[in-house]
Amino acid sequence: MDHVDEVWTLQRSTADGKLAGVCSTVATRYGVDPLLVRLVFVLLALSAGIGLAVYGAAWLLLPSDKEPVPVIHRLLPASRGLSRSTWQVLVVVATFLVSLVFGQFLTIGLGPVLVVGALWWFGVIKPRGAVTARRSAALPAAASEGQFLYEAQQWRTRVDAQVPGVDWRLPAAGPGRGAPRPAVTPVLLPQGPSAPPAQPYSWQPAPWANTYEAQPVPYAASAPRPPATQWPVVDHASAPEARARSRRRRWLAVAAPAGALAACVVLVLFGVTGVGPYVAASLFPFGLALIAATWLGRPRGLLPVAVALLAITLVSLGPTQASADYSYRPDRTADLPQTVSAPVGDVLLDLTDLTEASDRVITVQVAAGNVRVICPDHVNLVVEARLGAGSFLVHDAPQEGPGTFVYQQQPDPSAPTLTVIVELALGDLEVMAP
Amino acid sequence: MKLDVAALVVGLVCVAVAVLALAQHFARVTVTHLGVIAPVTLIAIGVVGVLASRRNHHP
Repeated sequence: MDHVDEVWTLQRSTADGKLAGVCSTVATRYGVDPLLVRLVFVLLALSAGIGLAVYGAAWLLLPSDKEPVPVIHRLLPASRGLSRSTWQVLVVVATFLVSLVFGQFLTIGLGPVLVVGALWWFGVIKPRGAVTARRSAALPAAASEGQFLYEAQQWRTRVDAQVPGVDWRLPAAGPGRGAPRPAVTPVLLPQGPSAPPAQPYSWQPAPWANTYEAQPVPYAASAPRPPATQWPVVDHASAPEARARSRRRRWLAVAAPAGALAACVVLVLFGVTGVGPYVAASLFPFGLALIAATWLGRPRGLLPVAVALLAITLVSLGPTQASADYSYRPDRTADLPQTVSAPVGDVLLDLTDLTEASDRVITVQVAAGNVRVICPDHVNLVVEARLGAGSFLVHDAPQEGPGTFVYQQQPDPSAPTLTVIVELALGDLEVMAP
Repeated sequence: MKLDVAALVVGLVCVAVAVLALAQHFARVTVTHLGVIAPVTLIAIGVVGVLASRRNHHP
């Protein structure tokens, strides 16, 4: 079977799954540890979001063991007419688009995808193919007659081992599909002079099976039924417990979005702007609800919503804050260090919140890395750059080093001036002016 | 009683990230601190998850 066709035969396991059961299904089918598959999907998710696209596609397109209709067909009944090839093209296109969007801030790149793909192909797919080929080579009957006839022959061989003298072998060339099947009759093999005379086959339980076969079948039709008091008693006490658990789940399902709404209302009342704080404030009650769900039971949909909010929150943190090794965003110049020294690394000096300025000189020394200075719009500022190999960028106009470059702004000449001296041996200095 | 370890771990991560994001916005947590806080938090959450998982499998 083709590997792509094999994927379409997968059925999501709802019993072992954590989210949608995709990882556990893949792990079960290919004989890999589920934890390993989950880690791989997380790694792929960090690789330009490809893992998210693949997981989402598997969730939408694969049926589950409880619901034979794929999710996408329930959401979009009109999509039932699309062929598998069409879906495969759509998945590839969707994955490409997702990687374009997420690749802007998930900077790991596509390297892990290639590594995982190579490991999967050479570590899982190829060994499975080799094992299948070896089995096929060892089973000539199976190759010509199909797996069913081979299994039947193996079964008869085992029966033959229990009943010597009877040959159950199939004919070399079996009848084709649809041809009338010959009646199966035992063939008596010629016996040696010392062998006992062969007897026509009649089923007898194997000696080792006598103990088990001798057991009476409980509740057989011919056996007398036990008194009613001996029938299994249903534990009706579990029903109220199940109802209480369902009630707690419903309560959590309401409490999480209600908490998120309340948190957003508080932020609105405080006049907070920007998407990031609102998403983070919404994520917080969902996280608390999930922790409570550890003991109270997890409502349906709580985990996917929380994971989605988590992803949005991580995105909203933004590359400007998360990508720098040394980041400063002071309210007052007094909060800034006198010297920022980084042998290797990126430095972010975000002065947009600077409300109180004073005459001060700050030195940033970086051997290799990038420095970004985000200027305030109402403070006198001088940025003096002493560059080795690298660029000095102001207003997207690069000036190549080595050399000394100066940027200054003076909205109020009578006000104090903050001076930033950047000594950068290798790397770029970007001044983001207001 | 069997614990829902997935909910516990994801919930802890969600709360940690939410607190971090809010602190980043309101308290100006620097990335230098984040480089210490984030790994320690993730390791702690991982340990909690492993312990909870062991509790489920070995009552």
